Amino acid sequence: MTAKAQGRVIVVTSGKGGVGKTTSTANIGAGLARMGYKVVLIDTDIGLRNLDILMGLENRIVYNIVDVVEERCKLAQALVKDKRMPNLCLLPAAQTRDKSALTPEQMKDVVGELQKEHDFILIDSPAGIEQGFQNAVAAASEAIVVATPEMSSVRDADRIIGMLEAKEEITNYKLILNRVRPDMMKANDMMDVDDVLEILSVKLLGIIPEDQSIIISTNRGEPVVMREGDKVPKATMAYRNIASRIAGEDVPFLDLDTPIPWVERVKNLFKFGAA
Amino acid sequence: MSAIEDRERTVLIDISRAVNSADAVRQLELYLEQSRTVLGPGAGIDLNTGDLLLTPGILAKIKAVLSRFGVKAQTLYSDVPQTQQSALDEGLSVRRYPPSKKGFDPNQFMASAYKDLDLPFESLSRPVIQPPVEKQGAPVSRPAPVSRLSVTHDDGTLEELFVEKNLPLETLFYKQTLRSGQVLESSGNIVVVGDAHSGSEILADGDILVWGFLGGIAHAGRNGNDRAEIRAVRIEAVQLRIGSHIARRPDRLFNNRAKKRTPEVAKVKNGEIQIYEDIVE
Repeated sequence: MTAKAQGRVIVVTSGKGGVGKTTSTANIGAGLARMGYKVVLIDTDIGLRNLDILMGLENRIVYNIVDVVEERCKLAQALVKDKRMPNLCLLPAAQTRDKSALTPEQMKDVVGELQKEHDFILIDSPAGIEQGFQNAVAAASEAIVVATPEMSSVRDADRIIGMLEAKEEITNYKLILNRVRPDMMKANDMMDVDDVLEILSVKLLGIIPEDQSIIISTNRGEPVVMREGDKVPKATMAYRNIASRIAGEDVPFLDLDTPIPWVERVKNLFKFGAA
Repeated sequence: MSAIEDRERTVLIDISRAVNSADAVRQLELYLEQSRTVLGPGAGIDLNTGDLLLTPGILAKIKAVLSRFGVKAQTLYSDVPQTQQSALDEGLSVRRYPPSKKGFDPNQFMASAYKDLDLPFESLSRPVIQPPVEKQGAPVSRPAPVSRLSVTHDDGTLEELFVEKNLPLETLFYKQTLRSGQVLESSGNIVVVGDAHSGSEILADGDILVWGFLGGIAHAGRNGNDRAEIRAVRIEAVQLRIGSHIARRPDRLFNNRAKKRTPEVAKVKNGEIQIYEDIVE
């Protein structure tokens, strides 16, 4: 793909916990890898790591990012190769340390090294705005803000966007609206997509519907984006589309209301993509 | 998209306890069915047929079963000349039955499911936390540790069967649940009375015994002792490390293991970590 250019470094963040940062990181990363890009996922949630479980790679971790910066191993040794896709790997966080085990400078060094070999470096940020967040953002030049259509999540996202705007290195940030329920939006029981975009005045990268297949995938250690076949869940398509948009393709937003023609449209999209 | 890649490896399946050749084929199918998620395409299968008499026809059937599961036969262990000849005719290499004569050991099979990692693994030598030094005055002199096993005979004499002074390894007893993120380490042995949850680490220079469920990482013989052992009532550790060896949990565990009640022990055999039922013989 991008042969000699430096890889793009994208941080996935939210401020609030539990809105889907890790799920999004895993799925976007796997989505990009599925398109053939070389992708590395970095878990910066030191002490509360989860990304390895979502990827089903927990049992393959020997070294982690703290071992790398403390020079107990080489960077290549700490990269855990995905068991399904050879062009996808994970740099896990340490489970038995805390956020202070890593500094923004060290993060930049590690990412700089990874940029040479990979097309995309996706950084999963911890919740909060403290050092863990600072580490996650330090080396990034792009950001994905994940929010759910709830006031608390939107307010935290607003805070985070403010902090991202203050960073010169971040040239581009976009929003993923997660756990969207079109039925509730229609009934005015949930903030609608336009409301959220207006409050945050931010560009939309994608909408992920509330989908129970996400829970199943999390427990199985297999990102939902990796499901193949004709009858994939909506969330699968939503994450694939996001990956395509990040890669620079112009993909229309899913119409979550009309499932049947939507599936047809997806099929057509595939035919187009395969050609 | 690439299919799930699995490193080629060889697994021994023992069908020697089958009552007849049809039963042998059925047992083989059953084992392969159960281990479908563990054995990747191209894995090699060694078969122990013990004293079963297998005709070339049955062996052809066995080969068909193996190829249906995407694995291939390698060595056939047999004690029967006719079976050996049939196997040679079918192009298999033939040997007499290997190391232990125990028959099929489900735990040995389980052990193969604990795969060696591709990574070169060097024993992580982390600094061991030293016990705090008493600050006031001269260091307290402790009596040298002595362990002994003795019997008192009828005439009142005491016989010491076993005495060890200045044991190099002391044992740490930890009577609590070990939770995610907690690291228990010792330059001696470690006994955990409780469960060791996934995300926890137990690091010992000596042996490890978990009187409960072992779900986290356990590293015995951390200073490079490959003869160290890890015991637990149930071993489902994310990773097992013994000396310089490392093995990881299979991505999916066998369903029938949850019902098992036999304690298990992990040790290094034939250059890899294997898990056995921990039975005192």
